[in-house]
Amino acid sequence: MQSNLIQDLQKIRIAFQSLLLVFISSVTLFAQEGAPSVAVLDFDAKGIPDYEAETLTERLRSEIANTKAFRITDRKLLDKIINEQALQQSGCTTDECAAEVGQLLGAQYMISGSIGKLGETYTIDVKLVSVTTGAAERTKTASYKGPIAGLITEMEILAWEISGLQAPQSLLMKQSGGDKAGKITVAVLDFSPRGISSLEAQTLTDRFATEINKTDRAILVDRNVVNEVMQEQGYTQAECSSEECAAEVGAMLGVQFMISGAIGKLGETYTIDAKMFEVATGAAEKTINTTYSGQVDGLITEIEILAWEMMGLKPPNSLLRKRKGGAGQIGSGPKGKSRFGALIRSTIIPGWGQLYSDRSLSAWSFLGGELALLGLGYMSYTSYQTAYDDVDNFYAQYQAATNPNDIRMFKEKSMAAEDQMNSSNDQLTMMFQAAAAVHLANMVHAFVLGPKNSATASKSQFQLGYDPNINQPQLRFTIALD
Amino acid sequence: MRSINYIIAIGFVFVSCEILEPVYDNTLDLDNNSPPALLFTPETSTTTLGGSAAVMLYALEVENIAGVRARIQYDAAKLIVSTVSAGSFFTGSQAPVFIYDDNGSGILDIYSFYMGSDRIKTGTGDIALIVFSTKLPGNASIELTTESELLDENGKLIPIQSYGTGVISAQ
Repeated sequence: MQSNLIQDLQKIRIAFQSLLLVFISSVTLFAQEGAPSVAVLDFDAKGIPDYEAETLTERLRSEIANTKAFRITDRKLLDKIINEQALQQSGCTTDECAAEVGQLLGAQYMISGSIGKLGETYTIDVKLVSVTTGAAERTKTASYKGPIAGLITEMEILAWEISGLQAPQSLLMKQSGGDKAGKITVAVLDFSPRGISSLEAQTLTDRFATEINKTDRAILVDRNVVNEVMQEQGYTQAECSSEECAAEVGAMLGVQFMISGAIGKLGETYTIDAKMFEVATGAAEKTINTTYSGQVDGLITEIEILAWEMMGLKPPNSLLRKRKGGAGQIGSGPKGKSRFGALIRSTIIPGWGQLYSDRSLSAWSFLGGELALLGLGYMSYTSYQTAYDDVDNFYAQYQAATNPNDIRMFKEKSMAAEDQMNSSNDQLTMMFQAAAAVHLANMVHAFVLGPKNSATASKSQFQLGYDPNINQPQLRFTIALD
Repeated sequence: MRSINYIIAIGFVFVSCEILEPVYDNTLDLDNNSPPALLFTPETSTTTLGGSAAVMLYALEVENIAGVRARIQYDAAKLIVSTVSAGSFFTGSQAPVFIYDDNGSGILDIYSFYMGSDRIKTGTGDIALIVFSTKLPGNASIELTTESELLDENGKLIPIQSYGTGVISAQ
């Protein structure tokens, strides 16, 4: 009777203590209001020491708290319940056991798992069990080969994944070993468009980000990840133009540096301003400005060069040649065409500049016209040469002759040849002057008209861009109406 | 680059060829001397100091002449008459009568008469070949004076329209 009473009192005490601890933990986690509660049992150690499994489990608990997807039940309470129930945490591996402990804790979910070692490879199995149903809601596994310290990152990633979330980029980069290569982690925000379309600004930002990757000096956070984080924070790319916002997003992404900027248009001049600042301190690491005049396509080269300069590197010569209007590497991208390039080509060969500018009709007209004039000029020259020889010959005979009739004959022939020579020379001069006029006109034409707008004419009329509103790539088709 | 363009353009504009401008100054050209005439050819000769210069005495487009008397005045201070020989104009079935007289003071007289069967000659031809030697440097003039005569077979004078002149230059 007395022993029954003692047992009843003990049960009441345990229940009271449990209620008290549940109350305390509920108050503590008030900030995570609305999130379901979860308790994490120490993982079962298979092939590794228990204390290492406990340490790793503790890291999982901490990271789950960071996800804000669950309210973590206090470990002390969990230990107390387990002890009261004469269980060992690592021994409570079945779903039923976990559900029973969870009910005692007042938790909605329980997480249990195991860490094993097979040769040099570690395996981690994690399970999320619903206390209400006793069924496994979600399971995750991971394998890892390397020093055991690397399991910490794996556990952190699993914490996000078992919570139904994608692990932060910083963790994924840590997992891939990016930090070890001495690279910086960077996220690029879409450059603000000022006078150009947002689609063009996004396309240029994409090109900038691609070029940042090419520098091999930075690990770039995927654009989609940036967008997701911003959406979670209730921002759009357009709204997040301030440094504070960028720093906040950068902190969420776990990157060291953020790059933001603006692309503006003033008349025919484009300006690009880009800034890289450290997320931790908010201090500007590097600020670069550049100005460009010409077709909007030329901005691609400018922004590619800017990417290298932002990383403190000298841009590749191929890019610098493209900027100067010289020939870039074949297949490296669209070449920048300029009026000056057209002028040079037309100076060398009439019509070449027009061909370069995608004006075939003009090109062949100039080339044909000049060749025809030069051909006529050559015919005049041969006629002149014949007449010249005749004058020389007949005049010599005139001078040598002593018979007045012969003298008259040679004189007449010489004078006739002289007339022919002068006429041919006049024609020759006129043809070459006409050819010179055509050549000059061809040069002026090539320079004044310049290359056709590649965006609407010679190149593809399709443009691929990114539309942040629908969060999808967008295909744009352009038709010239003029 | 701009200068290259200018050079190309200007080059085209000024492309043209050498032009011959012959001077029709043959002494025997009827446009230069009216016939009948007594002329020297060449009109201008150049030689070295102490050297010789040959000058042909020509009758230009004469008609029916039987003889000629040519009086040549030359610069005796600078020239010496070396030789005088008959030309081919009066050469026919017989050699012509050919006489010359140089008094050494600057007057040379040449007489030549046709000895052919028909006794007259028509056309253009060389009467004599005169070789001068130079004594002093510079230009020395020679000229046919108006005392020169063309005669027909009856000894009548035929008017001469042009009298030749010449220059021998010693350098």
